[in-house]
Amino acid sequence: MRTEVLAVKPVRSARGGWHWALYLLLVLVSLPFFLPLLWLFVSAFKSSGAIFGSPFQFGAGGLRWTNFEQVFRDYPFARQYLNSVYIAALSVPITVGLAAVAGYAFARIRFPGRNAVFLLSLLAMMVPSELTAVPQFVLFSRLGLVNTHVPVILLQIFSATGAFTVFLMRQHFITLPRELEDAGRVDGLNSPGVFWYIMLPLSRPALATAAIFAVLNSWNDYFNPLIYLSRETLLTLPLALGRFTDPLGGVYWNLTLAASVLVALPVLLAFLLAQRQFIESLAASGTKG
Amino acid sequence: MNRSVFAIGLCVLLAVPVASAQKVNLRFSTWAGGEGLTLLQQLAQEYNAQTPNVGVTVEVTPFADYASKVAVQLASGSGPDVGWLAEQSVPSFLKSGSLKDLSALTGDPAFNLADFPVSALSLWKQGKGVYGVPFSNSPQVLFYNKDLFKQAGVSTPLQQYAKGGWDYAAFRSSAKTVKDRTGAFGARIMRVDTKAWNSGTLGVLWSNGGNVYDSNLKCAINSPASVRAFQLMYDMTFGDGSVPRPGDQTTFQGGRLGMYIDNVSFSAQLKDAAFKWGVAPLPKGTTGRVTQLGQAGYVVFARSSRPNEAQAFLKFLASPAVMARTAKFFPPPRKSVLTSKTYLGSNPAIPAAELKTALVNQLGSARVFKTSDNFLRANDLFASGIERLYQPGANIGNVLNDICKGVDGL
Amino acid sequence: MTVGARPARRGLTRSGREGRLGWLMVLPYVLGMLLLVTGPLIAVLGISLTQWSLLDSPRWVGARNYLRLANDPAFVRSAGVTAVFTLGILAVNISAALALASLMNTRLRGIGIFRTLVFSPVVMPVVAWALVWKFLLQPQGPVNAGLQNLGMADSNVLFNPSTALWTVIVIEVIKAVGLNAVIFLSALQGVPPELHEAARLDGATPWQAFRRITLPLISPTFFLVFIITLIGALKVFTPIFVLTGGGPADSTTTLILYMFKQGFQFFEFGYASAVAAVLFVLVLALTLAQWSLRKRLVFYED
Repeated sequence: MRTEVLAVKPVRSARGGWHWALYLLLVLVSLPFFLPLLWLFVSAFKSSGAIFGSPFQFGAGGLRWTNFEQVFRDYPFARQYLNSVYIAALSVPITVGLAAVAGYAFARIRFPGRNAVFLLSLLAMMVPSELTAVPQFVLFSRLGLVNTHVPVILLQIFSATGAFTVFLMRQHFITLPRELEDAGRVDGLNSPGVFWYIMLPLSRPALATAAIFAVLNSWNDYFNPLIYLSRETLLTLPLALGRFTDPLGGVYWNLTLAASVLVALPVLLAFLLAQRQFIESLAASGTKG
Repeated sequence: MNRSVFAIGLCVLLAVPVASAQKVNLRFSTWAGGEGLTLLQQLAQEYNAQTPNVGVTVEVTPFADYASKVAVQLASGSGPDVGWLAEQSVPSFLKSGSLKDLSALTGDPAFNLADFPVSALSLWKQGKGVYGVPFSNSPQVLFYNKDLFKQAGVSTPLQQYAKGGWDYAAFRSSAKTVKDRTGAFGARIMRVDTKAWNSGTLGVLWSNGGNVYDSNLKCAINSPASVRAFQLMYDMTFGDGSVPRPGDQTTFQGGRLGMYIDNVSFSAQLKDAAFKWGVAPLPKGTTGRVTQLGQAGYVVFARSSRPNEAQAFLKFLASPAVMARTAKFFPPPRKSVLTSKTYLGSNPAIPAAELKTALVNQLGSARVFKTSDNFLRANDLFASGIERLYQPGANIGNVLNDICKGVDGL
Repeated sequence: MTVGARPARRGLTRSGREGRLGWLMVLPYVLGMLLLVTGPLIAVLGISLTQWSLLDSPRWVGARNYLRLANDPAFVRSAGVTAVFTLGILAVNISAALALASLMNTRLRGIGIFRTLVFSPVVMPVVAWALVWKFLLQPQGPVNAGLQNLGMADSNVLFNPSTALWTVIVIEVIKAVGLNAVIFLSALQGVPPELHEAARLDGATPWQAFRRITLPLISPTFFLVFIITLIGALKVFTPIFVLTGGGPADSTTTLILYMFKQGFQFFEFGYASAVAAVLFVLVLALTLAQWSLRKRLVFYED
């Protein structure tokens, strides 16, 4: 406090020094967050031998694309990639669609049993979805659906991810002003009309947030595929990353890391391109909840 | 709403593989990899060519998870029809009634069951039934990296064996010299995954008078001789630093390991190795040169909906002609194949003389790991105990006593 | 809230129609949820009273699975692991998130880059993140080499039973803390700067200003982050499974991993369900506690 009263020049230099210290701190603090990513992207281009060496020496042959070629040539990785893409493409719109409709009803329409049913869906959100794995597995095996994608997709839509999306949409619809709805009714719209023509168009940011969460959850889903899928060609990406091993358990790290880059790339790129919206919508989900 | 119902219906359609009407499709489950897997896929295609109404899909699960993955599939009614099974899983699969009795096939004189040594079949028999046919009768061998030994100026295990001095003291000092002079690890005894701790470890235990189970299948891993054998492996890990610690991902095929104990089938992973390698017998211990005889067999799962087609495919795989081809990676139990002139030359990567010394000559003293029918559970206790054992400052005797307390308490 | 006052005026038929519409709108989701979550939750309680390997039919054993749990040292141990893991994640994540948010809240040029870097692991696929760390944490890998340079002899943090759990906690926090940090950041940005100015003039230390002004003002966010993080920590499966598989020596086997092992590796589906039931009761208690504490702990709510 004292320095502020002093002459202008020392203050500046003190502030400048303070700045440098702060910058140094920021750099140090950010290391554990981005060094692993940097390391991943660099190592994906190394041979299996060079990976164990110094981080920025590539060894003979320099940058290698062969890891990426081999991932697609020797393993059904393209097929597994397609599996993950189509499961996300199918489950995310359904999850968000069902949740938007249900969330609106939970937020705005009074119907008998509403609170009880909403509480059940809160429970579905809170309870670790792994807990219900045994009965779900019994159900799906009796239906002969093990080793198909059906359980994986349905559990995305209706289990924890679905419940969370319903919750998110309900919280969003509660914040929309009721006057809008009344104005719509004056214009002769019925409830579905109000929902479709007025509420939904206003909900694009919330729908986008919900979709981001749903995509991330679907892309990351490990537990259900682990239980339901055992054929190589049915696997999704998170499981597929663990299959670049020799049969006795030795990991081919160069292939594993190259494949990890391919799995991370679309999400990281999407994030970098739209990071402001990304971060803001995720932050909003926290402060408005 | 209708749209979403439609979409779910669509996803059901997309996800369920459409089976073609008349053709029988068999699922064949294996943990093979590399060239071994390529061979199996080729055999599946050939079988389809010769019996056009039967197609075979080869499905792979890594070895460490193989038994539990297959068992879960069987329990859910989505199991494979035919598959591999390793010796350690046979008792538990027999107990749960998961395997089909093959005596109709093996009783067929054309199949010539007598071609298999009695010792190779004992594991697969129960009562009058035969529940599997071994395709691999594989004493573990020592792979060594010739380049590293040359660089370290140590004579290779095979040379030391020829001179008669290849014992565990020589093994330890060779490993340490390789480590000290090249910076690479001298030896890996266990596989990377501690669940597969028994591979490699058993040879060291048995050759030095130790054991995992006694003859009544009671835990014996805490016997004084077992403790001494573990002490040796522990000292090589933490004293000499010549053996990688658990969690270390260094593999032999990466070229930074002097020696590695595994089955001959591991050579399927060495096609692209950037170094010269060879195979040698395991070292000799205080009670002999006992190596683990890895056994794996073909089985038909009891829940297969196509038991006859499955059994016919198994017959094809276990026939002398096909076994002569799989013999390249999997030492054949059929005596007719093992003693044939072509066998020793079957794997071009391993010279006939080496294969004879390291493998064929060791068959007499090799031993199968006999396990109890609760091995899935017991193995969990063994593996977690082994993880406690390989820690700096561990009390080996106490850890092994704890393991036995747990295993015998199951 | 104006909701309560409205429907009375509109008459029965109107609210009847509304009620039907409401049910119609939630029905697709609710049916799926009842079939795939609520039903199985009840079924878990039933299965937990049986012995069942799926290959045979379930055999009624009453409370025997629960008695066995009480005497199963591995279960007790995994309950302890779960407690340490959950509390560890809570403590490390929330304090780190607050610290990072405060850093992000400084008006420095380029602070956006810092925010991006800290946030990027959040979108990183879980398995890829775990695999990278598994490699970095090899006995001779860069992390252990660094620790050894700092004087930790023989460090092998991920494969030592006494350090593995905390290693997993730290990796998990680095992955997830960015989300909590930006949530805190947007709450911090809602705190009027004049309040801090006033506090400073009154001679308050930064810590006092934080405790007396910032914390109360962001308490709704704080509470929410607390709950999300707590429940999230109880759910963690994938990173642990990929990094350690529950080892070394079961030191990272949480209740969820223990349940998975009993069910899907040992085929004791009845016993696994008993573990699940215990965890379910725990989550239920936490959820209820959250509702009742919400009003007392949070200073204001919109």
